[in-house]
Amino acid sequence: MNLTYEEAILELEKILDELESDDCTLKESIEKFKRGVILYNHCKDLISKAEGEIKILLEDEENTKEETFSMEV
Amino acid sequence: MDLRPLKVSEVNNYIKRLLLSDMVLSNISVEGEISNFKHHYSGHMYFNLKDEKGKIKAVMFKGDNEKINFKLDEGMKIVATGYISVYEREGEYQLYVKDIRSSGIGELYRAFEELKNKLEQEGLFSQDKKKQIPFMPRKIGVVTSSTGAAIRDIITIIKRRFPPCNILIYPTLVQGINAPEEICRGLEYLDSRDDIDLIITGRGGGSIEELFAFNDEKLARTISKLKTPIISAVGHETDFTIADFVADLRAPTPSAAAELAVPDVMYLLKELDNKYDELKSIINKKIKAYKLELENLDTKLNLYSPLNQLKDKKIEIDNFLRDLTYVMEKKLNEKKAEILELKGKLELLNPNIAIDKGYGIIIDNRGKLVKSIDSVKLGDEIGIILRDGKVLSRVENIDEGEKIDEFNL
Repeated sequence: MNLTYEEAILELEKILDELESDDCTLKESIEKFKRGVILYNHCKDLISKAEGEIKILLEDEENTKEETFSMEV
Repeated sequence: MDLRPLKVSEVNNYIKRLLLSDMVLSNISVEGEISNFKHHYSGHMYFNLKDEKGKIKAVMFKGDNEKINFKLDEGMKIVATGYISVYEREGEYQLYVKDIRSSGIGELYRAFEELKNKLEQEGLFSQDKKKQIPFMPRKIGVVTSSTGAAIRDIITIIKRRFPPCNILIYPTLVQGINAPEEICRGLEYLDSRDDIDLIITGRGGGSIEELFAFNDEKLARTISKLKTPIISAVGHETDFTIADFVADLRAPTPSAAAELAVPDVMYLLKELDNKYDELKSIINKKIKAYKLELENLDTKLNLYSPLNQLKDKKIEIDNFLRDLTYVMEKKLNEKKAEILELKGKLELLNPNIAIDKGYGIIIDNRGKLVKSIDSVKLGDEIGIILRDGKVLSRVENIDEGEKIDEFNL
């Protein structure tokens, strides 16, 4: 799924509104529910990803390289 | 006794120690005009400070003069802060300058206001130019000193609020004359990459001179040309720099910039789980409603089923049968009672009973009952039937009238 977190949340909210409105058939409701669960899982994945990297750019004659940055306390 | 003669170097060293231990000379600010200014290739600066009546030699080493954010020049009026000591090789005392302020901070403010008005009129601060700060940046580029408190605060807060975020630090000076150039280079470099969603530039708190790198005109113009959204975070809450006005968003401090840059993952999780619960609860409610409807239909179906009608008819028949039995039994009992009554009456009429009491039944010779004197004539033979036999008699006298009362029975 390529949706960003915000796009996925927006769609999830739309689904909640539609489900709440009572206008859909049982089959449509189940379809929407399934889509909602997919969106929920997608969002959860996006925010529970592994820790991001902290890098610092170092320059030495013409070359820039990225090195892991650690904070000296 | 004469004192031992001292060597020149011993004298100079003695004087040096005297000067350094002096309260006034060891921490002094001197106001004067720069003359004979030399910026040596080693990076050190040598000049004289003078006023109308005198002059003093001054030196400012590379490590100190890098922090100044304006260019020193002949004739410039400054306030130099440092200490006075002896240059032993020449036997000269001089001012060792640690910091320089342009005489009167008013000049800095004036420069700041002038630049601010100029850029504002050019439209560099216009709200329409402000880019949207992304809600959830994947990688944030930070242009600041790699050793200051600012970068530590930024990293700590981003990691706490949103751990998956990547951070790329472009280390620069954040004060001194070379700082703006370096910051510009950092910004342009990060902007040229396509994996940076957001840039933060800034530094921790400091004096107005220290923050002045962020009031640089070139820096302001560089910021305004960036394609990547940028948050500025210079000094404290009360510090405003030109960079703040040009940036897409001004954060009051580096920590605040980190807070504004990424969402709080705990909050997001809570919000997300609430939505999931809502989703489940709506669908469960729906399914429950459908189930209830189904049960209602089932009940109705049963109600109209022929099986049920059959059952009803059977009950109806049973009822009829019960009623019928009841009526029949009632009738039967009535008849029985009637018969019993008739039997009683009949028994009253049974002649055998009278015979038992001494009555007799009179019959004529043809066997017919004699009920009246009219049925017999004198001389007829009649029979009298008694309880245990029959008496044959002859009519000798017929007496008219009801005489039964004369018999005392």
